[in-house]
Amino acid sequence: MFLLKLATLNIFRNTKRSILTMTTVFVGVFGFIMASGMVNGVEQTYVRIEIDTETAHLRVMHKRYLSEEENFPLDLILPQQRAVHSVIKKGWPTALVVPRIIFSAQLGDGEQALGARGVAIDSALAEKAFSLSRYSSSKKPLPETGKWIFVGSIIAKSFKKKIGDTLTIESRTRDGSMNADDYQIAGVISTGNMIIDGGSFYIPLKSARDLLRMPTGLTDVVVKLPKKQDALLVSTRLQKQFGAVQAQTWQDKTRTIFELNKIRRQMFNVLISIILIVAAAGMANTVLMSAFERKGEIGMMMALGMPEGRIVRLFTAEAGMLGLIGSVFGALCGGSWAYYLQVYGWDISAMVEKTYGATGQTTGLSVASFIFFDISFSTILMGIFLGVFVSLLASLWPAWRTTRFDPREVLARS
Amino acid sequence: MQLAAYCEDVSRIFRPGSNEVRALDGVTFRLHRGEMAAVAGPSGSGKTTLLNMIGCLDRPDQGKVFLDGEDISHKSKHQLAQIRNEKIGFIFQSFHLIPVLTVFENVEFALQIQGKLSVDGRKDRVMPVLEALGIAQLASRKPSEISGGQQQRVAIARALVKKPVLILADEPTANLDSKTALSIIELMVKLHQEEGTTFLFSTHDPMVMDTAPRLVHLRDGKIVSDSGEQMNKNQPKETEAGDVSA
Ligand SMILES: Nc1ncnc2c1ncn2[C@@H]1O[C@H](COP(=O)(O)OP(=O)(O)OP(=O)(O)O)[C@@H](O)[C@H]1O
Ligand SMILES: [Mg+2]
Repeated sequence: MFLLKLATLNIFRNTKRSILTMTTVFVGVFGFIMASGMVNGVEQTYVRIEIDTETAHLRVMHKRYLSEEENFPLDLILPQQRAVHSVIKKGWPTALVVPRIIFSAQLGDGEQALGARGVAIDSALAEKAFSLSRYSSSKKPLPETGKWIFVGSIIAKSFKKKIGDTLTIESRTRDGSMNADDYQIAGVISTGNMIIDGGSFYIPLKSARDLLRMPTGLTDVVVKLPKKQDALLVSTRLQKQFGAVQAQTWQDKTRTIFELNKIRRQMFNVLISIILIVAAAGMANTVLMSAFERKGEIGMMMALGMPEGRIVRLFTAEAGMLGLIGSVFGALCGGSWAYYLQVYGWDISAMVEKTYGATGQTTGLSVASFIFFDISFSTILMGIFLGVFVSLLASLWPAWRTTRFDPREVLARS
Repeated sequence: MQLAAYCEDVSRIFRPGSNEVRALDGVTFRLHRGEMAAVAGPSGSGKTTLLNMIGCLDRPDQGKVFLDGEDISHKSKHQLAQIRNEKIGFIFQSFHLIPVLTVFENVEFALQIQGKLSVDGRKDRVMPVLEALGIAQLASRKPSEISGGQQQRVAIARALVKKPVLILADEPTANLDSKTALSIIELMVKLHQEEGTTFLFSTHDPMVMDTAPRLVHLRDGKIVSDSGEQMNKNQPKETEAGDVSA
């Protein structure tokens, strides 16, 4: 107890040095918390937007569809659509099976034209599976019939269009000829998924059948299950039962993110390790310097018969205290900033637009415009623990070094 | 009278390079409880070495050192620390007070290290010592806020507070002006006379030597004169041996 008090007083003896040392620990802990918050957040954000806006839990299509996806083929339709539907419903009666036709189109207003991905969808089911109205500026679902369009917010912005305005959709039909029609904007949607906001539009399935001259057939169905963990089970069952069918789960779609994140984690680990090594070196140096500055004092303590272990503990306690203060501040700042970004998100849309262009990619993985950090109390505690642990570890050698002081030398001539 | 310290034919040999230095060369020296002695001699004569020996900071190469009747010649580093902790008070030339602690806490520090007394117990021990040394009013000041003479009083208080068998002081007045030095020595003499505290200190200062009740002169690691020798000679040999083993 008295050692702790003395240690606390001692860290104020060279305030500048103490603050500098604490700052390195601060940076390490801050960085650790922000990095974990981000990397975990990226995973969750991508999984969430993928499930909530694009794939639901499962996407079922023709076996060859994925390899030709970038051409948006309308002839590779989902085989045995009814049978697929009933197999899913039989195993998971509450599952939502949402029929879609994905097609490529030009959106135009007479002045400019923009390539975009069309999603023709059963709006009642889409509403249930994705609650599209939640993302729409109108807060109303997409009508089930009629020439209505939900257009991504970035597209709407580049056309300077709002609800009630008209856009022309021009598309190749199933038989290869061109067709065009005017659609009225029923909602401007911002989902946080750049593929949708920057490059997609929704129209009712029924009106798409006229536009694309495709009275039957779907390019895919997306399935929302009661439990997302069941996706793999459904997928294997479908693929076993239907030779010409492929099912892509939400895990399949987000796999690249997990792989990317593995690399990100390693990168951050290396970075944080470097910071912590710098912090440890600073800490060791601080303890060593203060030990040598206080040689006389240590000699006095030794002469008074203070056990060596307690002198070592005095110095490790000082390091621990510096580490604790630095870590707690780091955890407070990192924790609250990460928490802010968990609630309000980190706007990366500008970055994404630079990388992919305003319309984003049209196929593949969803792209988030906001990263929502994921920070837990245990991560914060882990950060504090890490900072204190590194500090204590770094102080062991220099603190032990004091036991090699010879009180005779120290006291004789000073 | 019991012996606080007894050196029996003690030699301490340093070997810097090939030519050995006999810092102490066959020194036999007795210090009784309640005695106050000053060690004088030219620089390099072995004063500090003798004090270190008796203060359990060093061990003899030849001969034996007894402290409070206990042979310390072959004790381990750890055991010596424990003996210092319990039995010896030190006063240092440059005070060595802890700057972040108050006067009170600096004195209390010696008791903290012993770890025997409670908070109240420590306070009951520290305050009377501060009062006896006339520094009670400075109890809550930091060392940087008091004079050199006052700092040395605090150091004396820190040595006194654990009621040691003896207090060792290696040139305790070297960092003080002569007036303050004299008052510090007079204070030590007063404590010796009134409380029976045992003191052994080294000095260069003739004025300080004059004040000491017993004066031991060292030269080249040997005792060349000892004003207390007569008293020791008068002691029958049997008693000495008995004291040592007690
Ligand atoms: N650690 C050491 N290694 C080598 N020689 C030493 C060591 N300590 C002391 N000596 C030598 O032993 C002799 C006695 O030294 P000591 O310090 O006891 O003298 P002193 O009387 O205290 O001198 P001063 O008045 O200068 O303090 C000196 O010649 C000194 O050089
Ligand atoms: Mg000396």
